[in-house]
Amino acid sequence: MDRMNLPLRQTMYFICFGVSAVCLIMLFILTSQWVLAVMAAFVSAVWFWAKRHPETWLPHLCLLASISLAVTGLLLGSASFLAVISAAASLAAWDLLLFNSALGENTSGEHTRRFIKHHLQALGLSIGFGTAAALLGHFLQVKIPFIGLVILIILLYLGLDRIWIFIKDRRG
Amino acid sequence: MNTKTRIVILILVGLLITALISRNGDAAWMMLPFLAYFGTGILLTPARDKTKLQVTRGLEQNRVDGSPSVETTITIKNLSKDTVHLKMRDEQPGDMIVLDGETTRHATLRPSESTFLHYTFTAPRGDFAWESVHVEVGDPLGLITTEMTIPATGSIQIRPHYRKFKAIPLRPRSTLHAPGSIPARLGGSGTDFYGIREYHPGDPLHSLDWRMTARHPRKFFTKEFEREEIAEIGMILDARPNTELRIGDDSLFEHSVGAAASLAEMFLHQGHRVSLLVFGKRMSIAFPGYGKTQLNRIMNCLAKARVEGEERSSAHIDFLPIRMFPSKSMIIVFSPLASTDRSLYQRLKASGYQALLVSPNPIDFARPILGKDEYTRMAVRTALVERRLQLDSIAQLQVPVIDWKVNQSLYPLLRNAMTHSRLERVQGD
Repeated sequence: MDRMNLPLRQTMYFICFGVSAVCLIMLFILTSQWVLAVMAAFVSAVWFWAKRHPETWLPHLCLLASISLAVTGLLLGSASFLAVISAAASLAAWDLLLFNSALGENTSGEHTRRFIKHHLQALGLSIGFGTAAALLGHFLQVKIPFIGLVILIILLYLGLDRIWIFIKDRRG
Repeated sequence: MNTKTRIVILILVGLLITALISRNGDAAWMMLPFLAYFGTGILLTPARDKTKLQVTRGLEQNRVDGSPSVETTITIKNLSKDTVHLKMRDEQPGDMIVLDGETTRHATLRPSESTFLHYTFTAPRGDFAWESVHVEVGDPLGLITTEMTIPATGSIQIRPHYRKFKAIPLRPRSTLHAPGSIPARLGGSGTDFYGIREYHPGDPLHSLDWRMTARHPRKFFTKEFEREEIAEIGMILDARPNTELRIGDDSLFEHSVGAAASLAEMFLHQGHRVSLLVFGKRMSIAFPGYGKTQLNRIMNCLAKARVEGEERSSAHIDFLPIRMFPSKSMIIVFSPLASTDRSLYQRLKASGYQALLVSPNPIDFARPILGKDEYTRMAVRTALVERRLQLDSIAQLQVPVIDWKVNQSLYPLLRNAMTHSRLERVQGD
């Protein structure tokens, strides 16, 4: 079981990383933005480097770079579902990279295996649900008027205060 | 808020601003995976006040000799009603080195469940204590965590490593009137014939010398045997910073500590009364005593012995309280020697003590790191001559001196020094 967990986490990381890289590069190939496609390939290569140095700022920079490129592709008019999938897969890869680094080789014991299982479940559910909702929103083509967006932001701003109080309560 | 949370919030804010500036709905939709991720973290975070954990620490031993490997087990139990996701971490005090096992563990504990950390460590001589265990409780994604410091006390004393020496027959000038192993040059009960004297009423009949009695009519004679007594031994361990020499992990002081421990064990095993004074910035004393309890006291003293701080006037050899040792004791000094130390041996002799100097050779100890050039060789020779003159000047006071090269066994040198009738310098060549 111990030996099964590490490959599972690694496999999931490589799948997420692969999906993110392919979607990111495809995003620019579809719009013939070759320079940006090369940049996306370069960022994907840096992800490999980040895997070797997970305790540094490299994983965070890779995530920020991947999201920035995905947003750039989106703004340049490429397929938005590719951008959403790329961003979500980058988020999952980043999380798994940090999780694997934090766990190290200490995966023995029933309670640790349960911890890994809960983490993977929470990650899969949250990102799966978020991506599905984002893709659904994209394909349903819900147009939110600008005023609606402004109202949403005001509500979000007011809600942030509540979220912050909730977090503080939880942390004691 | 940890780095992970900050990064997610930064991305969310960035995407929101981009969506607003570009008026692009797809950029706003892109926020959803991040929102779901962040929301899951918030929702699954346990409430701080409802989290109750109990930690206990178990140590295999509380006192160990030498450089051992000791097992530690830390058990953490979830006393709250909810499942808790946690990361527990135990920090090692001082120079402790973990040999095996793990000092960090991630676990998910259901109510009343417990998990443990188990590791084996080794440590240099000294006292070590743990106060608490660090526990991070949070959501399974590790976004919102609370660090808790839960008390889990424990302590261990690593005592100096000592070698068991065979008993060395001592010839102290004075003995304590208690049965022991040293011939006391006094008549009494013993095994070696000492002399014959006239019978005193009360003498046991079996000690009557019948031959002598037959030769002298109307008189009775009693055979006397040499009384065997114990010695009074005091040990002084020099812990002054100006006599310490450290090369990498090896320390000259540690050799002195080991020698003191070995001799204390040998003398106490022989039944002698032994005391110890560690002389440095701080002085620690084990007053005279016998047996295993005294060995325990001396080892405790040696375990805590440290060469600390800069040289101070309080650590000057003239302030050494030699009067703590009973009069006419045999005093063994473990010291690499400083230039002004001769006065100590003069004081010891003047006060009626029988002194012996065990001096670890600092020049020989430092030899592996010394250069091979001509100037260094000249400097080493000068230092050796200086040291030899110093040792000779102490030996002239009728103090046996052992010039101990620490890579050599101390036992033969000690045996020579302690059994020789003439007091002279014993060199570990």
